[in-house]
Amino acid sequence: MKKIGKVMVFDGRTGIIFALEEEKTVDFSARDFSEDSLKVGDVVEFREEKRADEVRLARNIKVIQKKKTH
Amino acid sequence: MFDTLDLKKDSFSFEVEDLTEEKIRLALQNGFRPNASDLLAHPSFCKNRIFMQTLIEFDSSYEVFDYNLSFERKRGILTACLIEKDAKKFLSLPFLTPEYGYEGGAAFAYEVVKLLFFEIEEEDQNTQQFYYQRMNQLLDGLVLASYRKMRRFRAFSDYADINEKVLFYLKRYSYAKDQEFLSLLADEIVFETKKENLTPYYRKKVEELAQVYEKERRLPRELTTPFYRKILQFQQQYFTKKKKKEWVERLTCFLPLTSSMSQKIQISDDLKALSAEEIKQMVSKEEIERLHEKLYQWKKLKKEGIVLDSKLFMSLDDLFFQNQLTKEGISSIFPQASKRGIKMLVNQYTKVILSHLPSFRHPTAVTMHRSSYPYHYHNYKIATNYHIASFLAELLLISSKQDLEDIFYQGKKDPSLRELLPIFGYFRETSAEALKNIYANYSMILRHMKEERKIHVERKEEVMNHFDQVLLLSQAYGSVDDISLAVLGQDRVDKIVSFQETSQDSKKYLNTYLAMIKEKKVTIPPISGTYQYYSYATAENFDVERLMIGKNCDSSCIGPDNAGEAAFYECLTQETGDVLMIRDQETQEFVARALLFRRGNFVIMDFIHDRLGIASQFYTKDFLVPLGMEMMAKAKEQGDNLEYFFVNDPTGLLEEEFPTIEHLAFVDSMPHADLEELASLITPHEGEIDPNPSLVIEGSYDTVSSPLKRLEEVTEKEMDRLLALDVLLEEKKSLREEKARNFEPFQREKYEELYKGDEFYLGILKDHSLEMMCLPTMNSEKRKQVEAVRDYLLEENQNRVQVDFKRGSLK
Repeated sequence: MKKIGKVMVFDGRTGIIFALEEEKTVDFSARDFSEDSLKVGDVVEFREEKRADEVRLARNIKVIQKKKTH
Repeated sequence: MFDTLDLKKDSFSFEVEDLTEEKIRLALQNGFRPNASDLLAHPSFCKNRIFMQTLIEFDSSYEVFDYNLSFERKRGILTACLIEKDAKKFLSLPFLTPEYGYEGGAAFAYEVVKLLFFEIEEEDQNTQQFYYQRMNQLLDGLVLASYRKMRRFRAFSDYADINEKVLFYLKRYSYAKDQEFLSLLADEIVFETKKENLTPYYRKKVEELAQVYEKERRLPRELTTPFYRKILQFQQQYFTKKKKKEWVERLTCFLPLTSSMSQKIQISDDLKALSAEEIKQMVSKEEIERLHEKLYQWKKLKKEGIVLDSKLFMSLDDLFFQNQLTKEGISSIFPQASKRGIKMLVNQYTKVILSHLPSFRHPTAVTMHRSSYPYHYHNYKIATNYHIASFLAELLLISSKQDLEDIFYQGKKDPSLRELLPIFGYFRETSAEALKNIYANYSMILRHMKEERKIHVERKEEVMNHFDQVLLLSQAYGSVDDISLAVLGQDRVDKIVSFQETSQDSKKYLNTYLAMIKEKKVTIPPISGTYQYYSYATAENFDVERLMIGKNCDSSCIGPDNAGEAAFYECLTQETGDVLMIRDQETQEFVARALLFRRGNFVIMDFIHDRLGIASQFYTKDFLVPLGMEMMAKAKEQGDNLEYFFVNDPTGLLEEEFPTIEHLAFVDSMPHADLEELASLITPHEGEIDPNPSLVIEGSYDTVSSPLKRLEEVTEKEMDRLLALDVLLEEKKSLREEKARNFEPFQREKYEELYKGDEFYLGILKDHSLEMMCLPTMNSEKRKQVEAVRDYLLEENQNRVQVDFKRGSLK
């Protein structure tokens, strides 16, 4: 099921998204978004995958709202 | 239009469709020497087996241009480039170009090499000691990770599990007042922890628990927790110690011996092989007398229980000259002697002979099995430059462009990760695939360890001390995604990653499946039927189990990244190949498989292979003749020029029933599939037998579809696979992403009725609306049929239905 979250950390290859509904963090890697740029603060849509050892991964990430810059 | 290799300057011209070994050989004799640019400009020639094989036979340096070069050879060539530091050759290797399917390209791969490759001082003890410690940390991590995975399958998996078992026995004891139940419980704890010496302790503890339970009818946590913790600790200790010993034994089979150890072994072998005659020739009387004097005056020997006199010296000399001066022999002369004393005596006598050894080196010296030496860096080289180069070569070859980017990024960020290269590669859990996973997910792994598990991993040493976590988390992060998993199935993914003979990369199998279902034609007439307890079929391209033709069979090389790679791809994704799948009729489980190849006017079937090896029960007339006859009947119906059906027979069981034909065509132009020049002709044939692989194939047949299933017949797994394929086969990237984000497993309860084929489903939802999905692989004729059914259903529900076209790719 599609989820919405906010990018909290991103080092260029991997990062963390805060899933808004569940208020939990989900890991992601650069492989999982197709857009050219993704920045901390962007609001994104994604599919969550739960893996072994309590690993939660965001897949197929799409930016739905870019972080506003002043 | 056929590709033509035209070397006008040398007046040679070939057409790819008209190549024969004789023509190429003749040209080579006359000076035909294609250069790199000639070959790279004509890939169809580099893909042609006859052309390349003949060329390589003439000059092996042409092998790098061969599209069918085996994974092992590529790895060997790359390893040599790394060891010789031959950057020029590395950068010019054709099989490292996108044209040869290597997306990353040689230049980028070389950037990774510059970052990761390093050499060590192999003979330096400090270096070996460093990697010995690293290897120990790695082994500890491996056994712990293995224990964590295994624990859930054990009788005492956690506190709750132990508590349940304890209560089970205590309740029975309380009811029957029979001490036997307490004994049984104590015995079970002993069995699970393998601590037999603790039986009285366990018995006492169990009695204490029984008393408390009798009074309170419950077990207080403060009483049980320390006891259960101890049980789990003992269980872990036993498992990890046993497992580590096993793994060390396996490891020592791979590691080379150190130079000093090799030398020791050589000397020991030489000594053992000496005859009494040779010893007498070598050692003089004076030398022995000098030794007697030395030993006689050696006070230490007396302390070790060895008091010598002339009679005892004679007995020792006798043994020495017969080359039987062993520990056992000495202890029979000196029953009171200590082990140390015996060793001292043996050493002193050996020293006398050592100075003479080089001139008496025995040619038949026998070396002991290497794993019989203790695992230590004094005895084994833990890290070698060859291993580093060879493992890095494998890592490069299995990496996609994105993998290389991940390795490059993480390699730059954390250069110490490359220290894993010398110690990885010996176990499945430390394969190149595993290291790729660690590189790709390392930042996430560390973050997870720090934030979720509160483990301090700031320093490299701390990471190595928690290597079990690194391994388990890298497996979790690198495991197959939900959508791919829905297509392949968990069991198959487990097999893919478990067996190392062929690629452990699930993506390669997934891509093969996608290519397989897109292939709608086959040039081998499809067959199916039953035989005894088995059913068999070919051309079932939607059958995902076909991907396991290598993994299902012990030690099979049929699969990506091994010698049988080309056979694997041809049989599954090309018109000229197919697989005969044999299953259990009742359970539909895999029993055996055989690869089929069509060349010109014949079909040849490879070994029939079951899980363990050759499935000889199928080498019978009753099984093979109907198979061949069905094939020929279908060929005749279509006007196909198929004339022969051959079976490769390693059992020799067919020799009496069928003629054996010898022909080079059975091996030439075939991918590596263990085929031989001899094969049994199964189908009858009048006149001269002339298998001709060059003939243009005139038959083409549709692959086989599974029967239509209704809601009550479909399984969740089948539907999930279809829904996942709908995502993966979507060509438009943005749409594919959107479908992936919305991907959800099948929910049976949503449907009133459903019709499912291999490539579509039509579902009537509970609100009577209609849902339809067709895969893009579906041909227009079939699509029209599905649409007709949909229209019929729409008409049936005229006033109630609402068509939902959101799902699927119907435009």
